[in-house]
Amino acid sequence: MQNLFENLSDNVLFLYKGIFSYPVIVEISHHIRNDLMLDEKLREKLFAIFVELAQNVNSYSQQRTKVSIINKEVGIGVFYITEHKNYVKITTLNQVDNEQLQRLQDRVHKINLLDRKGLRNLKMSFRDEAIQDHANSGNVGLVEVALKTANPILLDTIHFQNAQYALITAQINKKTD
Amino acid sequence: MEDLIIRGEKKTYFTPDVNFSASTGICTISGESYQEETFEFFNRLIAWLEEYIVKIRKPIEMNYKLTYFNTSSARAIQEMVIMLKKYKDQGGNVTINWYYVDEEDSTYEEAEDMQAQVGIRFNMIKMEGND
Repeated sequence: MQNLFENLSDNVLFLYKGIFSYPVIVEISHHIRNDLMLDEKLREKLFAIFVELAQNVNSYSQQRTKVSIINKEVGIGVFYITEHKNYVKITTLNQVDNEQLQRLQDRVHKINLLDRKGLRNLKMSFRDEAIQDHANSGNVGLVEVALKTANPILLDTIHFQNAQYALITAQINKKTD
Repeated sequence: MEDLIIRGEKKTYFTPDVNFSASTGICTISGESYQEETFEFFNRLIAWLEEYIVKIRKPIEMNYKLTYFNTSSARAIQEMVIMLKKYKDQGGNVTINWYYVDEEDSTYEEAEDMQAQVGIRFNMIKMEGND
C-alpha cells in the first residue's frame, strides 16, 4: 500500500482514503463535477463513473466501519484520479476476499471481451434478472463504467499487511473521435 | 387520490423533482437521480402508479426529464416502465415522453435499450433551453 502512494506522482488530481458513505460520495461527486480543471464533458463522465465505482466500495469492501451519525456500516477504501496527456484515469481500491476477487476477475474479463452492443445487451440482461429476483441492485455498475469509458477496465490486486486489495481503474480518453 | 409531489435536492443530494397528478394523469420526474435508498424512493412512485392504475384507470402521460441517473435508479425506472407497459396491454392509455439533452447522452442510449427490452415505445424529445 505504501508503494502505491509512493508511485503516485504530481499528476494526481484527487486522492481520498476513508469511508464511502452516501454523504461522502455525494460531496466528492460535487467536487469532481465542479472543481476539477478538466473539460466539462470529461468531468461529467468522471462523476458518473465515480458514483458507480464508489458504490461498489461502499457495498463490497471487506474493510468496514459503523458511522454513528447515519447509524450504518459503510465500506472503507481509496480513490484517486490521475491526469495524463491523452487520458484521465480513475481508480478505486478496496479490500476483497478470494471469492469476491474471483467474481470480480470473471466479470471484468467478460466485460472486456464485449463490444458496445454486447455491453448494452449484458446490462439489460443483468437488469432483467435483478427485477425478476426483486434484487436491490442490478449489479451493472462495472458494465456502465465500460460503456462510459469505451475502454477496457483494468483490474489489479495488491497485498499489504496480510490483506488483499482490488484496484479497479477506468481510463477515459480526453478526445473521442 | 392525492397528487405525489417531491421537491428535488440537486445542490446537496441528487433527488429528482416528482410531480404526479391524480386529476390529469400527467406525471413528471425531472432533474438528477442518485439516492442512498433508491428503492425506498422509487417504491413511493411505483405505489402511487399502482393505485392510479387500479383506482383511477384514466390516461397516464409519464414524462422522464432526467439529465443524470445512476444504475440503481435506471433499474427502478425500468420497473416503472414495465408497470406502464402492463397497464397499456390491459387497455390503458399510456404515453411515455423521454426528454434528452443530445443523442450522445447515455440517457438517450438507456431509453433506446429500455424500449427494446420492455417492448413499449417512448416519444423521444430533445430538451430545449429551460426544459
